[in-house]
Amino acid sequence: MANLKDIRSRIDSTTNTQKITRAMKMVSAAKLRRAQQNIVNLRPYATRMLQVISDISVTHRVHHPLLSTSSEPKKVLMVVLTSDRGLCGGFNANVSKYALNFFNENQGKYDQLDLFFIGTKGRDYFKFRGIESDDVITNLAKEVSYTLAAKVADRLMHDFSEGGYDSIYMIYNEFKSAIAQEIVCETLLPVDVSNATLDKETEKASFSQDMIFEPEPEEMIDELLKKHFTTQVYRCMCESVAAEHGARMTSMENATNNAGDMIKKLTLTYNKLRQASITTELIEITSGAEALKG
Amino acid sequence: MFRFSLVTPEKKIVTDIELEDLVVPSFRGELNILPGHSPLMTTLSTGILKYKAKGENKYSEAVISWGYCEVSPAGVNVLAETAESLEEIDKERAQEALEEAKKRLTDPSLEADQIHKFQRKLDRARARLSVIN
Repeated sequence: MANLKDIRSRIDSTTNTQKITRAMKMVSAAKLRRAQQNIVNLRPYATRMLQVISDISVTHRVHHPLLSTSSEPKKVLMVVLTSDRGLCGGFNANVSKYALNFFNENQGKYDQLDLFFIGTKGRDYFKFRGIESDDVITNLAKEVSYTLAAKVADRLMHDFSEGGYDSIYMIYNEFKSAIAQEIVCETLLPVDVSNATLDKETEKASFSQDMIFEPEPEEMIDELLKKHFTTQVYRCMCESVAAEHGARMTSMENATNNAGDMIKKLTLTYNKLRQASITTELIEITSGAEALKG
Repeated sequence: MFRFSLVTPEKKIVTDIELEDLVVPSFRGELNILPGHSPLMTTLSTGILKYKAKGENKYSEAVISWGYCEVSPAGVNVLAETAESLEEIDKERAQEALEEAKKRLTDPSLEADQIHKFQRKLDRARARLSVIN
């Protein structure tokens, strides 16, 4: 049986851990708010961008290699977006598991399926299972910014054109709410404008045919598509970061609660032991006194 | 009078305000947009964007880097990659960036895309400084 001192020190260390988890929860909550704000701020820009791209591609019948084609992709680059740090519940494990399943199931479907990791956790998961990646970006700055996303997007774009891929899939955690994340697999490239196209053909009013283009629509769409890609990468990163903070917040909340339970239990044992030892001492004293009397 | 919004991926700078006059740094040079401009779509390069809101006498200025401008009967939309208003510009940092870019550009071993990158940095630093001064 553990002695009083052992239990005392366990209570102390659990209390310290609880303090840490509570602090981490607070920090994540604050960061989550900022990350959510980022997503909201991005929305008008991103929607407008996609609309313009589809407008141009429809009204001017522009063809571009980065615009969607009907044929099935052959060489696919799969981007797995995880975080660099742990302690966020199933956040990284879920994404990695999903990616691994996807990888195993679809390997035969394409001529080539390569992996690209953003974040150390995903890379480590696959490395442990003996699957090497094509390219990795790790140790991103703590704050997601557009400039950072632009760097990541550049690198992806570079790999995309160098490697002769015809599609990029992104697997990441989409932020649903502070307690829920959803894993999604999105096609980042080629850009799919078919959905937007349908809406546009019925209501063309916002975009007139006689619009002046400087430079020509073909050149313009090239630039727009590249920027759109950057925006998409930025959006995925924002979503993922928000989801990460949400997941960390929940898991730290649970950890804090668990630590509380543990402290309660330990305190109970501690008190029981303390009382037992007092009782034993009393018995010893009284029996000692009795013995002297006799 | 026309409606105008300026958005970047990170924030909305202005949304739906009424303007009398707008000057954007189009890729071919400055472009002045007045009410009744015909529909236009153009890409913007790094430079200064100036706008005069309805009833104001002064122009407000912002430094933008890559973006595009869409003029339609409904109004003018500018999407810029970055945009900084006058108050946000850090003079010292801009000065430093300018020096740095200049120094880098004199390096003969630079590759084409690097040159392009630093050229843009140079442009941006110049634009920032010219707004302040």
